[in-house]
Amino acid sequence: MTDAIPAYDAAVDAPKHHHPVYDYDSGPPVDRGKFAIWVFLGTEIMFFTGLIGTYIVLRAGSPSWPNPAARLAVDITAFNTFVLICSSATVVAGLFAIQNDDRRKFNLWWGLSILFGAFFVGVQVYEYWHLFAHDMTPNQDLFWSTFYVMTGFHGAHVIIGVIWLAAVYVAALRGKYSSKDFVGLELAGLYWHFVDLVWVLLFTLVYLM
Amino acid sequence: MSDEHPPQFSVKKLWILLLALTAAEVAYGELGNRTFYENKLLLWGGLLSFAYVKGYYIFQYFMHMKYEGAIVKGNVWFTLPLVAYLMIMLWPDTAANDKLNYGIGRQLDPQDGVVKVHLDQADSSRNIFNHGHKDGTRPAPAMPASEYAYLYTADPELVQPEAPAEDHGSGH
Repeated sequence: MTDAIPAYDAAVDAPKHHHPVYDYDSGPPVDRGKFAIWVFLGTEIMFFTGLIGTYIVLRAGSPSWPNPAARLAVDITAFNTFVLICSSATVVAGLFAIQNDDRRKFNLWWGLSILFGAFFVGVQVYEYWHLFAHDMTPNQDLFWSTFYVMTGFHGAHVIIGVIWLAAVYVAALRGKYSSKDFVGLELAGLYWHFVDLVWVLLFTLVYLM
Repeated sequence: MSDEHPPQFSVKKLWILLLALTAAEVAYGELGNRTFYENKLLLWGGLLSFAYVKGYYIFQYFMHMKYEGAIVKGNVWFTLPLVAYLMIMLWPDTAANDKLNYGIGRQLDPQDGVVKVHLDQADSSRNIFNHGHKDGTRPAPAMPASEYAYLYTADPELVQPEAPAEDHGSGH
């Protein structure tokens, strides 16, 4: 007598995969996170292009435009630009440190980056507070409207960047990143450098030209 | 996961270079605003050159684009035609502004709805597209006085727009 054929059991006999299983990676030959952040940064480039393009149209079409040096504290903002560039440099130094598994240097450089970023936001808040105290509000004229829109949106990006840098810093302190896995830090760094890059342009357009 | 370390460059050298460029840019802007403010090509061209060089180094080294492969590079360069397209589409708004009844920089009076511009704001000497001077030595060519005089005058007869003719129901 032969053994009875067991009944079909879905839990055992059903196929384990509902899609083809390849023995190679079907994704692009680049880290998915890095690909995604660059797509995102592409949209950010378009966003700031729209703001800057509108600024150029409004400025070039205006009968007059005040000299920014007469209205804004260029020296303070120039120092703030120094600070933002320093923060970009410390982010790169921190990334290089984690790539060499030097956690002590990483903690120092990345912590400094967060402090520099927070300092930049603090100076911008001080600048806004000072301007508002002297009735230099966005509804005064086109100069102030464009000034607050461009620096305001950039400031929001800086705040998001500081939060992002701090979040990955906490994760790094818990031992998440190493010389074998540092993409999370790299993505936060790319966003931060983009914010720095935009400020280099905005500082020239809004404060110096 | 990143199994291969990307190449590392001298952060210190680049940091010093960027700070030096920023200091030079601010000094150039201060000097330009004091001495050759009217020469916009020299002033703005110089400042934008500084910004371009700084942006180039940040983009290529800090953002690591110099060491990326074709996929990431292509992804970014793809946005440049879009940027150029957007600027070209915005350009007519700048170029044709002087032909608009409600041009940029004029405001509608909230009381009577009339387009107004303050006389002291009509100085176009700071506009790269308009080389007129407030003292009248070089009159601003952007606004044809005959057609758009009401934008620049406080004369109520000129400021007031023509009232639409009243319809008395002539069709009935």
